[in-house]
Order: sequence, then C-alpha cells, then structure tokens
Amino acid sequence: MSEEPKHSPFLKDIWQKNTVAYFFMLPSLAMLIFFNAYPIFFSIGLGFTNLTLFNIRTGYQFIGFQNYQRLLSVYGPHIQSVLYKTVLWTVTNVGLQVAVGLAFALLYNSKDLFGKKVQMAIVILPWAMPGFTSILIWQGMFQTGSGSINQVLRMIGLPGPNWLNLEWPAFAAYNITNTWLAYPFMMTVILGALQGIPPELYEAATVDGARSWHKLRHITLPQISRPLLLATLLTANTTFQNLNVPYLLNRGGPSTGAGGLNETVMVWGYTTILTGRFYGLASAFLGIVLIMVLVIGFFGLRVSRIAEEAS
Amino acid sequence: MTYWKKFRRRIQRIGRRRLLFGISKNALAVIVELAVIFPIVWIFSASLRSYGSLLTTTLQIIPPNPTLQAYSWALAANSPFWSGLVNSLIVSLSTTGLCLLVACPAAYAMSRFRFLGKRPILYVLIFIQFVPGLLMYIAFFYLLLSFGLYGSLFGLILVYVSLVLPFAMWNMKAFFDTLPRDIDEAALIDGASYFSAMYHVVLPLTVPGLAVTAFFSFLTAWNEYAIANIVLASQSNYTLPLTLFSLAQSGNLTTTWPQFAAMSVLSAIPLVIVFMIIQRYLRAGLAIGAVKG
Repeated sequence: MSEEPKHSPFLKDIWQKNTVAYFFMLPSLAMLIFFNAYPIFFSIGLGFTNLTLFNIRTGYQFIGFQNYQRLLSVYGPHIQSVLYKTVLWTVTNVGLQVAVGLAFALLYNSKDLFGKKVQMAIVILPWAMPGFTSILIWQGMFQTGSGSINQVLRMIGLPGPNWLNLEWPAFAAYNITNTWLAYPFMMTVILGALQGIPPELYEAATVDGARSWHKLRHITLPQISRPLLLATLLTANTTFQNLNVPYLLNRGGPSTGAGGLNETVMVWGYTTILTGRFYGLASAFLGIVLIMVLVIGFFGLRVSRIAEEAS
Repeated sequence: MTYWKKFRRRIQRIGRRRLLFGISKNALAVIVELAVIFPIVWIFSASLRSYGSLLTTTLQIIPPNPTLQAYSWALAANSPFWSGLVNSLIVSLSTTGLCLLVACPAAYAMSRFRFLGKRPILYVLIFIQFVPGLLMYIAFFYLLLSFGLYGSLFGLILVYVSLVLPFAMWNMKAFFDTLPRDIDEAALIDGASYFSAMYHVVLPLTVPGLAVTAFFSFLTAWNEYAIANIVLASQSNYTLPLTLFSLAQSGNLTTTWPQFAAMSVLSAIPLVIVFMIIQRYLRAGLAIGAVKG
C-alpha cells in the first residue's frame, strides 16, 4: 500500500469530502459489484446446485454437497493428475520466465550493444504480437511434419517428437510457447530496476577488486530483488490462470478416456463448462481452486514480506 | 585519417579484452534476436505460400512461388477478416474507453480523498485480481442471458470492462499518487470543481499512465478468446481470435494454412504499431505500477 501524498494542512478539509469521493467511486463500484462481486458469490452458490445448460431455463435444484462428493469420487483420480500438472506447470514456467527475463535483461542492459534501440525493439517483439495469434502460430510450428521446429531439428539431424500428441513433449511445448510470450514483461520490469541501481555501487566494488560474478551476486541481485519478487508473484498468478496456451495448443491433451493428460485446473474447468453439462460441478471445482489460490497467495505475500524484511 | 586508423585507435583505447567481450555480447544478442523473431518470420513466409503448394518437411524460409494470393483472399470484401477486425475494434476500443471513463474518477478519489471504506476497497481490488476469472464465466453467461445481452458485443464489452477495471483503478491510482497535490489544490482554490480539477489539470499530466492503462485494457480485449467463445453465439459477431481459431481448426490445410498465416500477419500489424508508439511509456508505467502497487 502506497504512502499518502503530503498536502498542506490548511487545505486538509478539502480532501475529506466523503460525498464527492463516493460520487467519483460510484460507477466503478457499481461495475465491480455487478460484474465481479456478484458473479463470484453467485458461482460459489452454483457449486451447490445441479445447474446445466439444459435446465438453465426450466429450473435447477439445490443438491447440497453432491458436487463435491462427485469431485472426490468419480473425478478424483483425474483431478489428482490435474492438480499435479497445474503445480508443475506454474513452477517450471515461472522459473523459466524469471531465468530468461533476467538473462536477457542483463544482456540488454550492457553498454556494449550497438544499435541498442533497434535490438531492444526486436527482442521485445513477442509482447507486441497478439497473444492468441502467437499461440496459434506456435501450434503450427509444433506440427510433426510441416512444423518448423521439427524441420530445424531435422536439419541438424535430430528426430523431432510428435510434439502435441505426446504427454511430455506437449508439456515442453506449453513451456516454450509461454516463455516466449511472457519473458518481455519480466525483462522490462528487471531492466527498469537495473537502471535504478546507482552506478557508484559498481565503481566502489571495482575499486575493491570485485569480479563481475560477485558484483552480480552481491550488488545487482539484492538491488533488484523487490521488484523481481513482486513481478514473480504477479506472473505466478497469471501463469497459474493461463488457459490460452494449453487450451489453444492442444486442449490440454493428448486426451485419454478420463481427460487430457496435460490438463491444468483452468483447462479442466473450461472444458467442463464448454460441454454445458456440468455447470454446478465446474462451479464447485473452481470454488475449491479459489480457496487454494487465496491460501497460497496469502502465504506467498507473507513469505515475500518476510524475505523483504530479512534482506 | 582513414576510418580504419580511427577504429584501431579506438580498440587501443578500450582494450582488446573488453572489445572481445563486447563482440561476443553482440553476437549473443543477435542469436537471441534471431531465435525470438523466428516464429514471426516463419508465419510471414507461410503467408506468401501459394494455395496448392504442398507442405514440405524441409524448412523453406523463402517459399517456392511466393504470391499475395492469401492476402487478396483475406482483404476481399466478403472475407471473415473484415467482420472479425471490425468486431474486435469495436469491442477493444469500447472496453478501453469505458474502462478509463469509469476507472479514472475512482482512482482519483482513491488517490486524493479520504473516505470510509477506502482501504477495504483497495484490498478487495487486489483480491479480485487473484480470483480465477474462469470461476465467473458461468455467472457471466447467466447474467448476460437474463439481461438479454447473450450473444451481443455489448454484453462482451461489459464483461471485459469488469475484468480490466481492478487493474486500471490500481494503476491509475499509482500514477495519480506520483503527482503532488499542490497542482489540483491550486486549481480548486481558483474555483474549479473537483471534476474539472481532475479532468483539466491532473489527467493531462498522467498521459503515460493513461497510455499504459489504455494499452493493457486494449490488449486484454484484443486477445481474449475463452469468454468470447462462451458468450458470442453467431459467426457475424465473432472477434478476431474466434475467427482465426476457427480458420486454424478447419480442414483443408494446404489452402487454409496460407490464409490463416496472412490473417495472423494482418491482425498483428495494428497491435505492433500501437505497441511501438506506446513502448516508451511502458517502462516508466510498469515501474510505477509494479513497484508502488
């Protein structure tokens, strides 16, 4: 939470007009209540009903905890794998985004690059591309025969896998695609932080005879840790919630009888909604997911605050 | 003095080791850039393929008989590209405009005024951003159905505005916080109303903030696929993501692939241009939004 800006004491009362403030807040509060708060509570409520696409007009009933029971019994084994894949996806992909973003930021922060503006414009280009277009382009690139990834692999004599039809190659494809899509954000945040480091710190370290690795470890990383931590937390949330990459690439597949092998929480929820048969079930499931996100988010904030105080 | 002598003198000045280091850094950067833009180059080359040409298993960056066939298909008067583009522009621009219109006064109030419930509202805004959007999709569907807005672009716009609003409010508040209050106090003493102090004095000073917020709202609406897929019923209302996705999924690959590629290139161009214009604001904007938020 940011500090209140200072203002002159004799005008203090100007800023305490509640009615004016509420008047300014009114449109956005109305939007938030109608299209955020109400849907959240409504959906949680739907988790206790048997709503489907087919009884949405004719009427649906309250069925207590039956959806939750079904989630545990009928869908239990598949949901276990869904949760496992979700955690794995979030951890590996956030790690990749941070690693790539940091490496690129350090490279592009260097003064030795010629034509830096042009080079920056190129390396940031994935951000400028519309995300859905990029994902569909990558889908084309991961095709077995005609896709360019396997074409390149063939040129250097490696057999490319059938990316989108095998479990782990598909998982790798998600990671490659989303890292390409998301590193520019991380990189931009880190570059901004890097440029805020006072150069005197490096000069002093050079005088003391520090090697460049030590400078990175003891000056650069501690100096950018706060924005990096915050950006990581934000990215972790968006990566966890990412539906487009797994869904548009191969719908969380390859699919088996129980469902896709690479389905994340979001893909499973979305396909369940799309079939139209289990709105109640999907709501119950997403309600549980919401609770998990809040618990993890709460601890994430706690941990980051502790880390901040320690540093 | 020839150029070469100048160059050698420069090398002597900066030292050989440093020069080698600099060259290797540049080489690394060029490799990185080639890898990064490869998908874009590849889709551009695919868009120049002629319809009949078979998909090969060897890499052809320059297609055998490059033609603009696919572009002339995409730009023809009755192509799905135009309806998709128009729908996407309507949705994205209205989302952006409506979002700024609603978010700015609220962000101004949260930055300038003290009022009951301000802190809880700020916390709720963070909380909402962590709620999986998917949880709300069924409720959106239900809400729009009962308001009679199901299948309409207006319903979609309302949903998008509500999705972007929490971020926009936080971001604009962070920008307003960077401006000293003396500015609007001066305007208020001169007899301006609160609204005109915000509109005529403060807002013009937060152009970078407005640019960043507008860009992200536009981007969200432009890229959204999942909700549009649930909420839009008829093909004539499809936004670009839906049009493009249905094209990518449809059968005849040798024809649709160049068409898909051409449409991808065309749908990317407006965004790339906007991005390049707005890029100089982005870093400052992100720094304020991310560090202060």
